[in-house]
Amino acid sequence: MTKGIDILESSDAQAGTSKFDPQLDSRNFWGKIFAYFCVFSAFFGLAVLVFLIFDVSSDGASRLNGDLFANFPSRRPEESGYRAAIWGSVWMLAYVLILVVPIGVSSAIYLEEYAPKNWFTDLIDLNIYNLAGIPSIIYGLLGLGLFVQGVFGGRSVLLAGVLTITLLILPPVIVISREAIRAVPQSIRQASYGVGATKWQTISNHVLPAALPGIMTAVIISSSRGIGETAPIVVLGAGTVLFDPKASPINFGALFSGRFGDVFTDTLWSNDNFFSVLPYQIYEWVGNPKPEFQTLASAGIIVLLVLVLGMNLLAIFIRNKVS
Amino acid sequence: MNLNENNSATHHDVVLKASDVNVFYSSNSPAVAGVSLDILKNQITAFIGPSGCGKSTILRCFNRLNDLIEGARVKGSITFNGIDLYDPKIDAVAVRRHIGMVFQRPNPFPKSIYENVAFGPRINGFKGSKTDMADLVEKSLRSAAIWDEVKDKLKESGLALSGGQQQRLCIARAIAVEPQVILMDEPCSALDPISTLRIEELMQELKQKYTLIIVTHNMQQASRSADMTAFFNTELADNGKRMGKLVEIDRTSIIFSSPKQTATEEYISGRFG
Repeated sequence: MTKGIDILESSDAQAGTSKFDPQLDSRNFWGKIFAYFCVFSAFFGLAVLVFLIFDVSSDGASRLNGDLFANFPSRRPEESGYRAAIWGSVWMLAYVLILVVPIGVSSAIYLEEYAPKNWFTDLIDLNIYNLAGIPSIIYGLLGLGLFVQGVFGGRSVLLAGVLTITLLILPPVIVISREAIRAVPQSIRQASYGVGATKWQTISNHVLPAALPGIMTAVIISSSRGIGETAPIVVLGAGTVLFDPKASPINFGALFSGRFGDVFTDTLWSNDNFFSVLPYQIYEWVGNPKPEFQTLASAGIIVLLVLVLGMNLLAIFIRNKVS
Repeated sequence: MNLNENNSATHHDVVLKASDVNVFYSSNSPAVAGVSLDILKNQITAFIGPSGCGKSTILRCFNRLNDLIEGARVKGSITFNGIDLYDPKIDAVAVRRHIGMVFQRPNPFPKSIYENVAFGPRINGFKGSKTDMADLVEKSLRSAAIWDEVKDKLKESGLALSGGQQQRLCIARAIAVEPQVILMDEPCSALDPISTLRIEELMQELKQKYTLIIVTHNMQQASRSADMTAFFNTELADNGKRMGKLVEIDRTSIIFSSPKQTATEEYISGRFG
């Protein structure tokens, strides 16, 4: 293998008259070049991510303290924190998941298992793939018109943000979940029908459990993208807020003290439930000329990265656990 | 409608009866045309013939598995103990409990061995207690001649078994819902000769209780195992498309010694196929 000569060739009775020119050196050379290119590509992305984490860590480490989580934004950078934004992101994520999981998974099941093959379902199909590729700012504009102006009277409230991000990540969730459902072998479905299972029994007992790791990956990867989105949130008109978002769907205090007229005041549904989220707050402070705010922004990026990478780790963990 | 109803007074010994069955996949020319045959009770009927002759297609008509294929249509009539299986009042789901199936590739569920067998009874509303279910699972695994190999690892995945064991597990799964007929679609084509032999021996035991139909590419298998053999062949239709036809069905000994049709004779002597 070291030389470009096929040693076995010399044992050929008709040595020297071979019809083949193996060129082993050249073939192995290109094989190695390709392997190196793949290794480089694989580590390139990783290296950039490591550099980014290192860079923001050294910039923002000085502000990684309790105040960062406990304080609301302020004009004075040393007193400022991400409290409202962190709670905003956490609650947004929670409600987005509550909406995206049932709607996204049911859509995927319908399109893979139930939908007849005709021009109409082909159209739905094509649309979902296209929607998955639409820039997020367009969803921001949609949310602005549909939810902020149409439903909430021009107020950029948490629920408008939740609905907008839900619409944004539904298409990728549906597309990836469908791939997971399609990857379940047909033989499993036939085996289930073969012993007299109905379609629903087949889907719930065999198809969904087998597709679950893929569906979870779809949901977690997409929603971790969703909570990192800035553009649509900016377009919705979110701003700096100095209070925690109201996340409870019902005002339990009012409910238990008998003030039934107030069960929906100060709740998720309130029309003064303005909100901020981490990427938006970071965006605000990155744009501030004071260097202390830049440091604050870096600290915020660390928090956001931990949140997003943590979710992705969770996705990998769940996937290994389930499969 | 009760599929168990026994009308054998009028249809002596015949469990399944196909009359002029045509199967269409989406197009207007049939994939299989004009098949009429009787399946006799407690007998093994083998379907043989070259690829594309429609033997699997006909097999899948008996438990209405073709219903799952979009655009597939069945014309003609198939009766089970005298009841039309394609009557609109009949639910295909009910048909499949009475007419079980074993597939070409072993396809156990990615669940425990116990769950593989218990699944069918459970989804069909098995009325017994937990111990009754355990008994049913054991009985089914015993009938499929695999109990001794798996009794100590019922909680392990069915996928951990060898190919031959998986196929016997699939047979146990099929008989757990107490069908009358078991359809086998080339059940040994993915197995080694030893496993194949075990399945063939098992089939002889199973026919005491069940009626078996087996699709096979292996003519030795048909001649060794089957009581009846049906030979299918492809024919050119008027529009130039190939379609499957039943050439003849008779006792296996007759098919392999003195078939009435020359096509059968040519096929079993290995001149084509």
